[in-house]
Amino acid sequence: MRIASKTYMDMLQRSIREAENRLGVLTQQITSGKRINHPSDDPVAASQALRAHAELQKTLSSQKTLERAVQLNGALDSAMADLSTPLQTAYNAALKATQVGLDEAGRAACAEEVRSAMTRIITVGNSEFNGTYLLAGTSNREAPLTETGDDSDVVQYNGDTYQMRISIAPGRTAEIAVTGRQLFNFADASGNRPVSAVDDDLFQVMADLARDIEVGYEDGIAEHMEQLKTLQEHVLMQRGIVGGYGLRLDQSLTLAENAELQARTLLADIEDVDMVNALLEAESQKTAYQAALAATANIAQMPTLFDWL
Amino acid sequence: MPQGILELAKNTLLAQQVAMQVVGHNVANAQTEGYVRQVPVMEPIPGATWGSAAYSVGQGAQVTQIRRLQNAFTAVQLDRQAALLGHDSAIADTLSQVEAIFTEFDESGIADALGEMFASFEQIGTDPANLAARQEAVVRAQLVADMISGRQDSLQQLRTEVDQRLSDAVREANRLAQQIADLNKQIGAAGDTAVVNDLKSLRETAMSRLAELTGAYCIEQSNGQIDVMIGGRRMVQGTEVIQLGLELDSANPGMHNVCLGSVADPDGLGGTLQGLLDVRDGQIVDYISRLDTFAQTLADAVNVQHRSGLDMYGTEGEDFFTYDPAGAASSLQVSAAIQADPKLIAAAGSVGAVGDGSNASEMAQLRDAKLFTGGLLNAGEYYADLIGQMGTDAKAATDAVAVRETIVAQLKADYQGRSGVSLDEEAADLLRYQQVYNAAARLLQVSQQMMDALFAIS
Repeated sequence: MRIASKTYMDMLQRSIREAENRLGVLTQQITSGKRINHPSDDPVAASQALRAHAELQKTLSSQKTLERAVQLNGALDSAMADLSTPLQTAYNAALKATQVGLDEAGRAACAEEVRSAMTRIITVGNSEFNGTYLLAGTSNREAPLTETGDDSDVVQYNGDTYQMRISIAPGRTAEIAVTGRQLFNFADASGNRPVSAVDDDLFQVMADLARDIEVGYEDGIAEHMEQLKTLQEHVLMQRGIVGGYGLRLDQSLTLAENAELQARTLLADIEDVDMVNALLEAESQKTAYQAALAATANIAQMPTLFDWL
Repeated sequence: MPQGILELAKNTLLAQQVAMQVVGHNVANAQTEGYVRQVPVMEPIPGATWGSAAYSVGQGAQVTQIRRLQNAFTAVQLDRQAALLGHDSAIADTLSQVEAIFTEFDESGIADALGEMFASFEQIGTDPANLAARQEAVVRAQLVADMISGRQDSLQQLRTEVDQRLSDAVREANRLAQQIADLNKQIGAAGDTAVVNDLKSLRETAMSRLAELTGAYCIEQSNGQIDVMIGGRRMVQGTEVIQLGLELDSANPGMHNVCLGSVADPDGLGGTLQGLLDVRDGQIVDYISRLDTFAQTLADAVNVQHRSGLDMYGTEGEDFFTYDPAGAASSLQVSAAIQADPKLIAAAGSVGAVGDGSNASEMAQLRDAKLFTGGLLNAGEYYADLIGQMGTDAKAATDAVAVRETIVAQLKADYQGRSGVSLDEEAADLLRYQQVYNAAARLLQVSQQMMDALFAIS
């Protein structure tokens, strides 16, 4: 085959350009650490990478939401742990008040203990976390419990009947907390109470108990002690429910963390450059580029017949 | 007799001089694009009969023609492939610019912004009374709107630029057509003389470039002139040029069609011009349309969900996004009222309490809602699909260019194998002609000695 002098130079120019392009692509991959820098680098993988990115973002967002939910739930669980002592204190005070021979001053001291326990329970009931009242349902920007000064309705519930919850999947939600109404046995708009056997809220029961202790009304004390006992068990049960919510949230958080790991792994598989291979390939392309340059220089210097004339 | 030898030697010297000039011309143009190697055609000069002798002695050699070693078949193929290369290159270059508009792999893309927007809705869902979270949601959503409208504007701008490139290509094509017509005129006037060789090389170079721009081809006439054809229509006929032009396309506002003389959209148009038209009215329009669908569907879904909730004032939500249906992507905005007062985000569900973020959570769940392609894809997937499509188109175009370049390079090598200049070959020819020249000069010397011998007798 006859090869014209211009063909040599055209071929060499093309070889240098192609080697330069390949080296450029590899350099970009190595410096960015990513195999895909433009959609056309690998269109299918580019589309997969964007989906994996979206999945990762969704997972991170869910984690953030779940972390806040877990914190709220943990704060409520911790607050509810503080209810056991005043409840038991109130019950013990009532029991002490039933002792034979207790004088008026002794009964007044017992009543005061009950009222003091009630105040502590109100304080716990108004616990907040980062500006959110834990037992107010979804109306959680104001304290759920306020003392009225009215003997027949000593504490008013200002929250609502809707539990705080978060969305954990399309159409699926998870509860974070119980409401003050549930916990303290307040009546809803229809007059229904969570513990139907007790027709008063916890605070009214305690206030009535304190009053009966003061006056030494034994039947009243017995009746309200029974109610207090029932509500004490109810509070304990509600704490168990809140603990259950926490467990579910913890599990969801663990799942979200696992999903994050999976999303990151998938993304790395799709997007990240295999650095060892890329470096080896770059070395090989560098050699090819140098060879093209050397060949060009050699051929440019190659003598023709004219040099021998 | 010595006079005859002198004449013969003189003829030979002149012929070899011409041959060596041709070699020199070839050497000088060894690297000239489009140059076709020339060779002298040497023929013996018939001689006269001497006296009654029944023989004649020739009068040496003469150059009767300088022939171009044109590889006509490959040249036609080369022009055809150049036209295809021009077409594919125009598409590949433009799609590469589209890719530059959609930067999605450095965390500054729409996909990331979309994810952040849904995350901010989710954040409101868990803490609806948090005004900072509401403000962030407004900012995130507006960022998505800005990115979508920014990319849409860039696509429209690119489409306009492609249309303007048509004008440059048409101007260049007309200049080349005029150059071919002028060369036709000179070639016609020169007749069958050596000068036409270089004029033809110039004309072929112009033709090759014109083919790349327009997909034109040529038909050689018996007078040595060529007619340039686009499809079945003449663009150059002898020395006459029918110019390409642009006219406003009534069906495509602001855009132009190519016309040949008075004929709009001539059949057979190819090369760069057709490539520009294809990518302008094909891929770019498709991307614009899909981005409009993306913006409108996303905005509608968010608006429907937003309207079903209650804002912090307890009133029903208004549209969260606003847009002009005639161009959803380029006009997408977060409602001005919500931008001014994030409390108007209808985060609450039917309860309407300050801590109720159920509707915002539902808005966040739209991230997974299969809103697109007949319920097959969610917003992120649809957008990823669009980016994948852009990547596929760009890669297909780049691959096509690489294939064409390989074919063109192969054809060029093939073409130059016959028509190109080899310096070694020229040196060998130079030696050959030089040797004959030396021999002819020696003949002159011998002739001189013969004359001297004759004069010595007298």
